[in-house]
Amino acid sequence: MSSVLTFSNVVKRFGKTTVLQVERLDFQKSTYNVILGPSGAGKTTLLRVTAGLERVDEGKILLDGEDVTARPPWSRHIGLVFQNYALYPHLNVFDNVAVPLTVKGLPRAEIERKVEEVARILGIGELLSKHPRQLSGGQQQRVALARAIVKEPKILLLDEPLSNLDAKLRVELRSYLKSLQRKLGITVLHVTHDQSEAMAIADEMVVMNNGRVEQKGSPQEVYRSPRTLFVAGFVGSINTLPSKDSQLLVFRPEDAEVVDTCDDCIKGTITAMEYQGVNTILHIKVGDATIKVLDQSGMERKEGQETWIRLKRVMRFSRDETIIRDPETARGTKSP
Amino acid sequence: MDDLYRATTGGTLTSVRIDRWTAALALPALVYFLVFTVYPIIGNIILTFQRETQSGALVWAGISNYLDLTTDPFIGKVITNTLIYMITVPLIDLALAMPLASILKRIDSKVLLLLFMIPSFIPFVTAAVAWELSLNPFYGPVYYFARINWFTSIWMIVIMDVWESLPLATLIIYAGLKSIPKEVEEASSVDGLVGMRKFMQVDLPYSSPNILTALVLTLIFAAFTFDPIFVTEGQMPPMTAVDLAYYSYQQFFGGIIGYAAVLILIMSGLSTVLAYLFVRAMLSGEPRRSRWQRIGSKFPNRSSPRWMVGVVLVIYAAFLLFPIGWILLESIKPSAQVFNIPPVILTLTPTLQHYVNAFTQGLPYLISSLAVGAGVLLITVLLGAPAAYAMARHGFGGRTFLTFILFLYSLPAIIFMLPIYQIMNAIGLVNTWWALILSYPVFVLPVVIWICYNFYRNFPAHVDEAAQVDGMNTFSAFFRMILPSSLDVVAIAALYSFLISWGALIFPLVLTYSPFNMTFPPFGAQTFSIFIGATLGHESVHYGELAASSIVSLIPAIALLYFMRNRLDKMYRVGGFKG
Repeated sequence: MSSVLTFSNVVKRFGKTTVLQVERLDFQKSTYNVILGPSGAGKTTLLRVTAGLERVDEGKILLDGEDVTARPPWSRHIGLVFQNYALYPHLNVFDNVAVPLTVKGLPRAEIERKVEEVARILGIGELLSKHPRQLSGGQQQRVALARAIVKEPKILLLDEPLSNLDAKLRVELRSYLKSLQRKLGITVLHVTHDQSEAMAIADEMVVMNNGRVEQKGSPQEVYRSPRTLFVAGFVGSINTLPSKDSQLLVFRPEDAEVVDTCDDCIKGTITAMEYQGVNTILHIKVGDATIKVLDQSGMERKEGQETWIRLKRVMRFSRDETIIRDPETARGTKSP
Repeated sequence: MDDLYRATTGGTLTSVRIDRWTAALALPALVYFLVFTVYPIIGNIILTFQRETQSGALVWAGISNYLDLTTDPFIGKVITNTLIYMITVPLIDLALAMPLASILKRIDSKVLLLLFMIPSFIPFVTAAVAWELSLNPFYGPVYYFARINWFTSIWMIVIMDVWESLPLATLIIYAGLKSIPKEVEEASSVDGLVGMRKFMQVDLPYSSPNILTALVLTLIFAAFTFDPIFVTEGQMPPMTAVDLAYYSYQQFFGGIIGYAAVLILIMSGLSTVLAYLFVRAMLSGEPRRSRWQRIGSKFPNRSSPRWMVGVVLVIYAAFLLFPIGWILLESIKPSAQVFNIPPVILTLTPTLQHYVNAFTQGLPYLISSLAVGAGVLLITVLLGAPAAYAMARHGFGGRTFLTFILFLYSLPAIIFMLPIYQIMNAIGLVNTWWALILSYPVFVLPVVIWICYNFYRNFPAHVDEAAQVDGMNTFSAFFRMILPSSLDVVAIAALYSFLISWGALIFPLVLTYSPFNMTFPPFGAQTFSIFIGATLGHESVHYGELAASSIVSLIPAIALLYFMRNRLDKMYRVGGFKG
């Protein structure tokens, strides 16, 4: 595998605020990469500097081995699907999709062939003579996708591609996006703030916060071995408890279980229960803190009931919120 | 702040980097302004130190032109007249415009709004002719019925000025009233504020930037009054109504170039002050609202009864529509009835004879006006729209360039008159269409840029960005994607451009001397406004034909108003432009 996009020491500022600071970031060819982070994390800026719509203040961006840092958007050969799709309102679907080809000055016959092929892949063959305003959100998105991939870009950038769709369509389309990427073998950078979306489709996830990359890795790595407290909390839910030597004990709800009695367990009181069908999420008050535990036992519990909690797997974070050592199976961690 | 705002709402940021393609969008307009506005301003100063000899050559004259000011017997009268216009017209305008704007907002009728706007959109020369036909003491209906002869006093010009500028002042204030946030309107009605007190406590504070803009615009309009003086010149006692603008034109026509340049320099100074006020009003921030509250609370909190609003509206309608109505009636009267005393109001034997005459006799003028209007339209849209986009989207030129555009917007055309005549004379274009096509953009281009700029400020950046990603540079992105998707606004800018060309009077008076020769190559370029204002207007026997031609000259104005009917008030939003 070779790296198709590389950031090295990239800094982007707006006025005095640094919105992006990336020391090193590589994206491998033919992979589905998801950039995840809360709003203001710099993920859209990362996409826009890749496209050339913003120019970086420092550092280098290599695309396919070429330094494109100073290149304007129109000579970078990338595909970009905007959050609101940005179709050309005065052109019909065929002409919208054909734009990147007509700009290159390809012969008419070749343009028609390519547009029709892409339209077939994306299932928009019947829409070709319609105007953007006549299309639904999902259809507009497919047209925007078609326009982005018809020029066979070096990399396909998707800016929150699912955020304007309703919940049902969103779940449907995200697996479609992944299968499309597999079919075409292209490299995708997909920006989102939705962690479940990211986990569901990413080969590689890049978790960002405050303009910096917190962690890059497969969804499993990021979920099971978060490098920082932020990643742990943003990808999945966590419980934190203070421990000795001012460290933080962190565990996921499914990494704890309620037991009748044990030696080194934590004692708490059930304050609320969220029934979820197969499982129940228990809110348990421990000292001053309230933690959540995923109860898979199916046993009947009551609010106000005193109970013991056993931690199966914990992570320890230091004061600066970075991990101290890799999570390990903890047998009976003493309660603080 | 603006970037931050866009970032939070649209996720897009304006890139402030100007690459050469972006610069290419604005460069033609910039070059045009340098040649045709910056140079003339300097050229005019040089002219003030020169005089024309018998043979037409310009020679050095020292400061003698300036000394002539002290010995000129008319200059005192001319300055007094100019001041009368500057003081009376804006004050009367505002006093009449504020109630009219509130009434128009209250009754909320688009048809009425459009009808009332007509006087400000028609050529000024037509407006002057309409009043001349109504007021003149020979066959005018006003004189016959009211027995008041306004015709030989300066007040007639004041009435014409007010009539022409009142609708625009009203529209600007109306736009301010319409932009009051809905929540504020609702809150004030829940609080029980109505009538005068609501006007003083809510409407006035919110629309004060618009009122200020209306004041400054009418001030500029009145200070350089030209067309009504030109049209009525033959019938007025000499110097009764002549102001600086007209006086400098008279000097130029009499061949006293150096002295005309001095007068123009004085006007340039005056217009610079006024333009400064205009730019400040247009680019001002949020108004201070609190001080109005104390004054406002002294006004009665009563809504005026409907019948009263109706009566007032009828009076306004009579004033604003009467002259046009009269020329319409006049234009279909048989020749015999035109000179009847008492005047025939509604003829029973209507005829189109005057229109036939107007078209046959006016055809060369009409062709010139159409050709020039089309040429100017092409130039101003092709130069103006891309420049406006480069300014609005890419921040080209920053606030300085924007201020410069507004500055030009508010300068009267007459201050560029002399050097532009020299340029056209030097390249042998005087009395051709080209002289007009090349020179009109001086006052048309800033308007086109301003209209497009206001639109492109709120145009989504995504279209442009998508085009760049799809392989177009910013220059071709504009012409291939932005321009085609903003055709409706460009069409309005184009119509506006045509309308200003159509009504222009000073430049064609200075740059042409004969009608189009109707052969090839075309020579002679007197326009339809000259046909109305001079060819017919200065001979008092062609009233029917004059009225018919005037009605013809209204057509582009009516067309523009019709096309703008849904965005009329939005075109005149004021303030909050950060550049």
